[in-house]
Parts: sequence; C-alpha cells; structure tokens
Amino acid sequence: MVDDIDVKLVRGGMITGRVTDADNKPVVEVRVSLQPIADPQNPVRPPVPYNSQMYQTDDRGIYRIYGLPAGRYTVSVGFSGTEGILATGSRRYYQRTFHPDATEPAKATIVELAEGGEAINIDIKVSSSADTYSVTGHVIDSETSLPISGVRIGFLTVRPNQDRPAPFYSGLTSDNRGEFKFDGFGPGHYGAYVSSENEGGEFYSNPTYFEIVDKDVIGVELKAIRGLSLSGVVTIEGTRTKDMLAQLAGLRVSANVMPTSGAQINGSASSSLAPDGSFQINGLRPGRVSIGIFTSGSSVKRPTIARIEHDGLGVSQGFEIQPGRSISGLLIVVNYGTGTIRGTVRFEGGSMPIDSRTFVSCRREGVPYSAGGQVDSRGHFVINNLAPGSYEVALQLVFPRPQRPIPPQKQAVTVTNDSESEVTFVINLAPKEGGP
Amino acid sequence: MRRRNNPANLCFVGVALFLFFASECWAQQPVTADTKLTERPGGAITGRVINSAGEPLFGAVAYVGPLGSGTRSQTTAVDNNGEFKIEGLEAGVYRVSASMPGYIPAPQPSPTDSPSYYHVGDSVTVTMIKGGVITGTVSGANGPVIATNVRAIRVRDDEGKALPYALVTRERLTDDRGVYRIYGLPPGAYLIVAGGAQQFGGPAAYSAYGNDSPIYFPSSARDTASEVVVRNGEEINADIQYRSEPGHSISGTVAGLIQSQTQSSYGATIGLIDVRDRSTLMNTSASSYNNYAFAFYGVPDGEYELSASQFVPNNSDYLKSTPRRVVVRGADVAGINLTVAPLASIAGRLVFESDPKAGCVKRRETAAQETLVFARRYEPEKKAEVGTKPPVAPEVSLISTNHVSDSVADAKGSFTLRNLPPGTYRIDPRAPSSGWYLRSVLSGAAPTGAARNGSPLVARDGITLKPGERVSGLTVTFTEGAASLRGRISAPEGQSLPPRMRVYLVPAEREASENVLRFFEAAADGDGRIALGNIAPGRYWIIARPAEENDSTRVKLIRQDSGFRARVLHESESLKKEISFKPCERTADYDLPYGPAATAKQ
Repeated sequence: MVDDIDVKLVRGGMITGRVTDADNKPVVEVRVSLQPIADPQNPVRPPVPYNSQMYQTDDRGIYRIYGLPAGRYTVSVGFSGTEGILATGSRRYYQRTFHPDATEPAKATIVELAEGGEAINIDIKVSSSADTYSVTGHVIDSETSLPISGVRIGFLTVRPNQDRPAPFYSGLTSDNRGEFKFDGFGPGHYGAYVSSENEGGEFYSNPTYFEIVDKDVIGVELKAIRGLSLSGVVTIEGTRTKDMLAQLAGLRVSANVMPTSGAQINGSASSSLAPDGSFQINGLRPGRVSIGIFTSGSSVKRPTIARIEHDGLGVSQGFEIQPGRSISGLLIVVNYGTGTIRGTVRFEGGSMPIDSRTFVSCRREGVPYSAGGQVDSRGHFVINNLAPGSYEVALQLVFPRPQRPIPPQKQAVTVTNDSESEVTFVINLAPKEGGP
Repeated sequence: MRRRNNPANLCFVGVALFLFFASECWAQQPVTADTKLTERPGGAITGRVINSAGEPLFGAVAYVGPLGSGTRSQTTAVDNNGEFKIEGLEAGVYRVSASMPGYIPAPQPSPTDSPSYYHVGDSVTVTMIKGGVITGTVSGANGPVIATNVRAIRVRDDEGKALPYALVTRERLTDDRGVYRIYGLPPGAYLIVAGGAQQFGGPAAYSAYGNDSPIYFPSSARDTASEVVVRNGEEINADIQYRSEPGHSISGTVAGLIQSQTQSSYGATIGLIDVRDRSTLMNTSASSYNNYAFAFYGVPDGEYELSASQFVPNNSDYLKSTPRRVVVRGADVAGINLTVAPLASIAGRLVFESDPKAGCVKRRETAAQETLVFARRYEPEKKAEVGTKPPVAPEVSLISTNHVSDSVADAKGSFTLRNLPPGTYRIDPRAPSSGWYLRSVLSGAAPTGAARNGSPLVARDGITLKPGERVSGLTVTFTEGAASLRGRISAPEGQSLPPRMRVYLVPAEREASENVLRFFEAAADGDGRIALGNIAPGRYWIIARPAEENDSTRVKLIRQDSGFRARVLHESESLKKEISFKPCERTADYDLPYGPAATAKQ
C-alpha cells in the first residue's frame, strides 16, 4: 500500500527572449524548441507544459515560455536540413540555431533555470533563410494507366538511421487530372504513396522514392492498386433470429492492417452491416489484419468478437491478406456481454467532503478500453452489459479542493454472462499517526 | 506490376539532372492507346506582394485559388523583387491572396464589399500591412489571470462605420503575468473580451475560467463595454479587470441531420449569436455520439440567436435551421430544439451574343468558365399594392441578412448558386472580360410546372426564394460591344470633394428608363478617379454625387432601389450632362465636374 502521496504545486520557471535575423528584423511566428538537458543525478524529468501558443514568437519576434520545471535547457529555432518536411506552404525555413547564434548544439549556450526563476534576454540570431522545395507528381491506375483523381497522397521521410521510414499526413488528394503538388520539403530522401488510411480510400500504392537536393522535383509517378476487400457475415451468438436483426443494426466491422514489410504504412477501413449481417470492407492494403466490432452512435451495448471463422476453420487476429487476393466468406461471431458488476463503496474513520465525487471504472484483461460510471450518494454502483472475463475495478476520487490524497483503490473480479459479480471497497479516511 | 529496377523508375532519383532524364523517361514509357498525359494549360497569373510603402515583401507566399471545383489552389514564394508567377492555369475565375507572418491584407475600399477576382493573364498587386496591436493585462481579485483566452471583436471599420456583423479575431492566451497581445488587427474599433469558453472546439489550455461568462474591456458585461480604436501600425493598451461571473446555460437538441453511409454521421454546429452586435459568442457541436444534444455554458444575460447548421462534404451542401431567439435573464434555458433543413438554390445558364462587327472581346471560347455569378440577398422595398398582402420577411439568421453565394459557370455555361437562405436575391453576374455587357437576366418557367410568383424581370425585381426552394431556368445574357469610361470627378475651384463620391450613368433614351441594366454606378477613389466598364452602348446622362445609405449602413444601389433611381434620373436630367458610347468605345481622361459649376451647360 502506498500512502502519503503529496502533490506539491511549485511555481514554474520562465524563459523569454527575442528572435531576429541577420538584418536585425524580428522573426515572426517561428516555433521555439526547448531541449531539457538530462541531469545524471536526477534522471526523472517531469513533462514539459501543455500550452502550445507560448512556443511561438509574436510580431516582435518575442517568445515567453512559462511554467517550466527547474533545470538546464538549450533554446533553438529552425530545422536541421535532414528533418524532412518542414512547412506546409512554400515557406522559407531557418537552419536550426541555438541561443545565442550557434548552428551546432555543442556551441549552444545552456540556460540554467532555478525553480520559479526567470531567464530573460535569451535571444537567438538566425542567419539567412533557405528555400524549401516542392514535389509534383501524378497518380495512375496500375492496370489501365489512366489518371485517377481524388486519391489521398501520403509522404514518407526516409531518415538515415531507421529501417522504417515515417509516414507524414499531408491532407493532399490528387486533382481532377490526377496530379498533386506539395511544398515545404527540405533537402532529403522521401517517398510518396497513395494512401488508403482511414476511411474511404479505394486504392493504395507502394511508395515511389525521390530525393530533394536543391531543386523542385517533378514527375513523381504513383501507380495505384485497387484495394483488397474482406467480406463475410456477422452473427450474434446465442440470440434468436428476430432479436439478432435488431441488434445487428448499428454495428460496424473494422479492419486494421499492419504491413508485414516495407514502410510502416497502416491502413484501416470499416463497413456497416446489411440487414442480413453481411459486410464488405474495401480499400485495404496487404498485411496482417485485426478485426474489430463497434457500435456507431451512442449505445450502452458492448459487442465483443467471440471468434472468427473462414471455411469452417478458426482464424486468429493478425491473419494475413495478400496482394491481389481479397478474402470472402468470413464468419464473425459476436456476443454481447450480459454480465454485471454491482458494488458498494464505504468510508470509515471520517466522511468525504460535500462536492466530492467518486467514479468507478472497470477494464477487462487484454482490452484497451474500460467502462464505468459514477458512484451514487449512498455509495452504490452498477456496471452492465459486460462481456465475460477477468476485470480490474478501480475507484477514482475527485475532491473540490486540494486534499490529502487517498491511495488508489483496485480490485479484481470475474464476470460471467447473465450473472452479477459483487465487489466492496472500504476506504479508511482517518488521518495517519504522525502525519504532516 | 513492374519491378523496382525498371529504368523508368530510376528516373525519379538524381534530381540535379532531372529535367534531362525526364524527357528520356517519357519516351521510354510504353504508350498505349489509353495513356492520357494531357498537356498542361498555358495560362499564368503574375503579380507582386508589397507593403504599404510599396516595398517588396520578400518571404511572402502568394496563393492563387480557382473558384468552382476541381483544380487545387497553388502557392508560390515571391522572389527578391516580391514578384510571383503561377503557371499552368486553366481558364476560370481566381482568387489571389498572400500571406506573410506578422502581416495582414490591406483593407480594400471595394464598393461591393467583395474581394477582387481575377482571370488568367491578369497581373495582381497584393498590398499587406502590419495592422494594429492591442495588448494589456488581465487581472482579477487574486492577481494576474493566467492562460485565459482573450479575443478582439471588430465592430467598426477604419472609417468608424459600424460593421453589418461583428468579426472575431483569433484568440490569444494571457501569459504568466496576465499579459495578452493580439497583433495583426485590421484598423477599426474593437471590443476586447476575456474568459469564457473557447470560440471553437476544445481548450488550448486548461483554464479555471472556462465556464465563466466573458468579461469585456474594461471590466463589464457587454452593455457597458468600451470600444478600442486601433490604426495601422499603432499599439494600444487595454487592461481588463476580470471578475468570475458564472453565467447560465442554454441547451437543446438538433434534428433533421443527414446520416452518412460510409462514416459515422456528420455532426452539426450550433452558433450562439449576440443579437445586439451580431457577433458570434460561441460555437458548439452536436452529433450522434451524444444523441444530438448541445449546450452552451457561461452565457451572460442578454438576447441571443441560436442556429444550427450541418455541412455535407459530398456535395458541399449546407443544411440550416430557422434561427431561434432566446433571452437569458438570470436562469438556464433548456429545451431549445432546432431542426436543420436544406437551403435553396438557383440554377441557370449563360448566353453570349457575339457581334463580329464590334470585335472587342478577348478569349471568346472560354467566356463561360471565366464568368462569376453572384446571388446577393437584400430587403426589397415594400410595395403597397391594393389587394395584395405585404410580403412577410422570411426568418433568416442575423448574419445571413446580406448573404452572398457565388458560382462559376462550367464550359457549357451552366451555373448553380447554392446554399441560399430564404429571401429575395439580386443576381449579379460579372462579365468575363471588358468587351461584354449584361443585356438581360430572365427567369423561365419552373420545371415543376407550377407558375412562379414574381416577375421574369429578375434584374429589376430580384428572385424571391422560399426555404429550400430549388429554382432553375434562369438565363443570363451577355452581348458583345461594351464600352468603358475612365476619368476624374473635379471639385469646384478651391474646394475639396466630399467623401464617398460616386458616378452614375442613367439612360437618356426615354424608353430605356425602365431597364435597370442601363443604369451604372461606381465609387470614386480618394482622388476622385472613376472607372466604369461593361457599359451597354447608347446615350446617357452622367452625374457625380455623394453616395446615399439606407438605415442598415449599406449604400443605396441604383439598380435595386426604385425611389433612389427615380431621383438620380431626375437630377441628371436637369443637369443635362450627356455622354454617348458606341460599341467597344474606350473613353479615357474624362473630366466630370461636381458642384455648382456643373450646372453650367458645357
């Protein structure tokens, strides 16, 4: 048991300065990066704050970043040339420059920030800006060689020390001539591909790689391949046919595909169900498939996949879909949980302040999401429609004012269909001997 | 499926000699009967981006975007002289703008309040200014108010005229000293508001003030707020004394939304508009995830309009609800149920009558797709005709009373003006080039067979639309042979011209006095210079006079206001300053006197 966790709020430190260029003019609306320098004696670094607006210079070139933990920092603006896609729009960019005017990290002046301290005049002088470049290309159907409009284009940055290039979302689609153009590239190696990520892509392609040295690149050709499809039927275990039809409406089947090789381009798509439970998901890339089932719209029901079959044989999640070979005839068997967790929360040695609230959540082993709700004023709660399995039930106590914290409360419980599992929490509110 | 070692693919690496390789590559591609690599169109738009002193703005980015669908918007950086050129453009109508960090577009003294539109071959100068800055400290009972959002609402323009509806700038957060700084403000008068919910979407920073009512500079509710005037290049200080005021909630549901097959359904946006200054206080959304319920929190006492809208991306349609008025006076308001419904549209076609004898039209073949048609909503004059009921003004949102939709025609000359709230509209087509004049705008029979109420003379009487009504059969006819006039209004000896001078042309032929398309007008610039184009040939009287405004601070338009038209006709008939235009005639350096000297016959 862990207790006496005190949350101490301390005043954060502040760093401010001005960014100017070689002509002493202010550099407006550039992002300022803070790099905390790791301290070997205090390896745990608290997270850097949330407010993104303060990391940008204003019309005078001035930035002011506050709420910082004490420590040592380097402060810089700009991009190093190998960072890839630098800006949306054909803006010029500044080479990465550290306070006061160093282009190499080793020559940067380190800013020491005490707890609640202020570091002022942390100015940065950048040298002249450099061009970014554009890439122009077109998409054709790999079978007919005709241009295709309206497909999404994705980009990859190939970094020297990584096996898998990282995708970058461009929001770009090919125009009515099948062409696309994207600006803002720094020198480097890149790939372009037809993206079927998220909903609605019918095509995908393998990446076409290109290099940017000191000129715009034109003529990048992407050969789009019609996406693969998964089709089959969804049934609901253990319900009568007429109940099933009502339950099937509002369900959606999703497929998430991870590539087995090549660039780390994931794909996913989903489909609603026809009245007879059949579905077809299109536009998928080859790779390993995970199937999911969810309800569209708000619903308290929680469907889960009991098993997946193909041609009478069981299929496990992560089955492979291969290029040119769509899969049909899948059977997805779904059940709705009908288990319940019913519980009570009791406080001893004191009472909770008025205006405090208690929440309960439960999570099934192996599943990323949880269910839950608020504990009522008598200390009771009920969580319905749970699938069978082992659960961890946890409490969260919310106080209106800062308070001596209560250690986290968790319990394990097993849930089966059509039955209630009981759980009781007893929390001791009495102050400890020799406390603060 | 080609293997990657194919020589054609190797062409895409090695940029330095790329252009050389490219021509080789295309020659190597197997050319099948279906391969279509269409030629790039050859049109270009050029221009310059400058500051108010006329100096080039290196580092600016120019945007050229086509109206209508299909081709993407293009951007390019300007060169050392601030100049840009964007090529490969098809014939069409384009918007040209520029962006540069720390700068905003210079305010346009445009008589029709719409941005300028351009065609292929035009050269555009974009002027940018730094704008003004409003900065200050927000402090409350416990010291500075940190990380709270502050926004400026523009309520007057740079001449002090109240705006038809207020515009909200982007929000800025206060820093650790409670200091905010809003830069890049177009000149004008502003209300400054601190606290309250974020304008759009979730919080940029978690703030203790998110559910408060907003507080206006200097420390008040909307009623007693002070305006802050800022000019280009000025920095004004405006400190705000903050108080935490809880405000109330307004809640309800939205119905009538279109569901989507392929995705979870699109949600609706609900806007809360302050009735007095017609500014949008907050927006929120409703979707299937919360059963289409919505709520606004922290609303101060006052009178508001709520309206819901849904945008359907597939066909770019909007559905809007009839606006609801809600009064908040010391209590929450619940149960506001809004239903969205489709908006109206007007479809029509363009007809171009060529006249080879006149011969002053450029690019005849692309005239249709270079024509932009506007539909502008206006309040028609109330005609007291015996036996007819006065038309009931349809309910539209306060920010839609002067709604404008536009449409670019396709190559065949068809256009559709969409997403029109109910009301009466003027159809305002923009000739694609200087050689055309507008001959007529007529409505044909409705396709449903029911007789349309309203006259076929759309130019004079406008088109009145019921909610969601779909009208088609509009015909807009342009004829070749337009004339143009450039000149200057001159003031009498020793005097200066009054502000907002306009020039008017009215037809001298008696039989044309009912044809509104023979009436022309334009605003003079600060030096009295005038330019009128697309004038129908004929005889006219010309007069210079100050503009008149109606009570909603809009300039009276001679084609729209029959009483004003009759007065100007009468004044110019007495003045008897006549001018004739032959087809395609260009008149330059025309001197138009104003004042007592003008009554002397030349």
